[in-house]
Amino acid sequence: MADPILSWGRVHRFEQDVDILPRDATARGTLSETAFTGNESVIAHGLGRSYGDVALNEGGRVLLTPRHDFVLEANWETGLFRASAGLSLAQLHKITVPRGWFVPVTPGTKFVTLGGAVANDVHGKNHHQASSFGHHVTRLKLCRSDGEAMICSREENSEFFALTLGGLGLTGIIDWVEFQLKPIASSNLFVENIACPDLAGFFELSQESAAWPYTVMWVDCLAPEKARGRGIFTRGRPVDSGPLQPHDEEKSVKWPFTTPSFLLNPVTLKTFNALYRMRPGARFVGEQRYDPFFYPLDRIREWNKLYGKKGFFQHQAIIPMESGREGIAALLEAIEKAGQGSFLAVLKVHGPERSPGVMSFCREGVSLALDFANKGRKTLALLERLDAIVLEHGGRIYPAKDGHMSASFFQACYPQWTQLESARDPMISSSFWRRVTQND
Amino acid sequence: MQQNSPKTLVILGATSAVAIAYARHCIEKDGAIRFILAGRDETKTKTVLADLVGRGADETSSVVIGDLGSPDEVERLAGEILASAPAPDEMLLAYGLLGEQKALQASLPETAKLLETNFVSAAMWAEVFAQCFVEKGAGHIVIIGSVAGDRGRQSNYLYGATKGALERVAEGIAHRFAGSKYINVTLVKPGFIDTPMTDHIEGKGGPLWASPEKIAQVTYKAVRKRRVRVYAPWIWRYILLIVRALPVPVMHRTKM
Repeated sequence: MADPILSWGRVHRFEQDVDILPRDATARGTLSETAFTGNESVIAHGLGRSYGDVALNEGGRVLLTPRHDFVLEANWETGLFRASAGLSLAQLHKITVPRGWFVPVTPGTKFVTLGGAVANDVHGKNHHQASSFGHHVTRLKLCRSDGEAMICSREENSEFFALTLGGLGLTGIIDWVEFQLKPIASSNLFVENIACPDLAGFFELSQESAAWPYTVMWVDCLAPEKARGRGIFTRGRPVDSGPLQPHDEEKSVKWPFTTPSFLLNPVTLKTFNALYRMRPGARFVGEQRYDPFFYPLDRIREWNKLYGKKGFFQHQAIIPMESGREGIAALLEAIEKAGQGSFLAVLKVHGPERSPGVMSFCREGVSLALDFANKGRKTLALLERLDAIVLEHGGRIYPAKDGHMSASFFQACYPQWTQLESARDPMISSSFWRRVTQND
Repeated sequence: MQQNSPKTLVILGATSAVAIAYARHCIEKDGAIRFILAGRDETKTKTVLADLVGRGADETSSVVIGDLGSPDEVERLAGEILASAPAPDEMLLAYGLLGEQKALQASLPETAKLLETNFVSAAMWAEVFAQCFVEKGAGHIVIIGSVAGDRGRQSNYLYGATKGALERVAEGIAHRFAGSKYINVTLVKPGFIDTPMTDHIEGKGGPLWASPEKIAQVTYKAVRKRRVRVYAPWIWRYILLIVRALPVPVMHRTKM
């Protein structure tokens, strides 16, 4: 393979061997012998949308899964769906939307595999009602390096089931995933975008919109102190009737080049945020197709190159409700002071977590997701300040988006990590896992 | 809702990446299609069938198992296919071997096998379906060729020869039915495709490599427009225009 395997943040450039999981591995029963060869450790790698190093394995192997994409069983009466773990949500929607079914929980990109959705127990704009993806998974098949193939569910091998949801791919190679789809009457949503003046406004709007299935806010993280937390609050609900039309990938455009880093400075950031807040669509109210509503960034293929050659870091923290207001305000203050804000900062109120995932990121609270161009030490120092604020307010950060956190911080956020370590397949490892479990 | 009987599509080499991508694309565009999937490996072919049915293919779709590339088997397998689908609407010929030029040069049996699989049997299949469509009065033959058939080059001329020869067959059938609006032939000529068949190629990846899904899209559009010949993606038409136009002395100084 000519191109190195990178994650979405493009920060980590590792030497690693690459193998491809063939499409027919399940049919032939050869999945575990393809996955585990030799003595090198392996990690499954789907569409590379995690930001840091959870799906990278420096000095070991990565197993590319997207070819492993067979639909195995689809019940259009009940919406129970089973497919190989390399199937993407993009492909899934092309199959299910015309029949009136949709994925129950979706992250901000449709280019994630089912295996990735399980391994990171992903969440979306409907977390306050629908919880994380894992809540909707009924069964999955796990292949271990000792040759064991396990069907896991809430009843069967339930410990492995709970450790695999949010288990960062470490408990075994996920062969297939079975989950419950959600019925839709139309592929369109009714959407309201509301200008929000400050953080207090965000919490009011979130509370007022609790009955809306989808809510999220884009926040201008470079706003001055008196307008801290201003942004565009978006809420949406599926409409009751209308077309059932899947998205069209042919309409996307590609980010044409890797942005030179001198273009990424506080002035361009402020300009972008001002324009983004004032753009014509920013107060849009009306019907919208699911693709631009859930996946605005999928329109620009390789948008991650916007952050230049050195890549970027994501930082997504969740802070429990009781300290949420304070914690988020403190995070926004630290960012504004550092002048290193991001283009796309996202705030969301989360509901109680019903996914059985032991290591799942989500919990009831408020989350703030940010991205920062990689400017070396300066950026890492800011991230560490943010981590300290998160810890102080009893929060934690999302491994799928992390490329920097220290082992001690991770272990403080996720004391249950030892359970995952004991269930980890001895042949599976990732750069992330070694980074956060080997004490610094 | 009025239900027309579904279109029947026979795929020879149903487990190839391009065939799978094409079948899925047709379902996305046209809904329930009845597939007759022919392949050598029963487990693999049946998994493809389950996938396509899960994606919306007609429930009566079925498989035919056999060595399509063996000329001795063509007549028997054709009988089996046409027994389960007496009047198909379209046939996609997607099987083939890539072969490794150096290994072929060193082994006559390997060379014979490549010629038999990629050309002899393939030409026979094209004739079988030409005849079938004459009887029915309509039908579309779709053949996956290759840009390698456009000029003999040291790196893969035996493979190229089979694809070039197959192109003459497709061209001839198209000419034969030139007066008929309902019988058509489309020859698709892909360049580099990212499939298991090409995984061993070093330096794979880059702007000239296309996904099987891209080839499927191009094929679908070409079939709808009843194009006789199409390069996939279009850029190869111009690349090959240049390659074919190179004078021999210049060509011989290259390593392609």
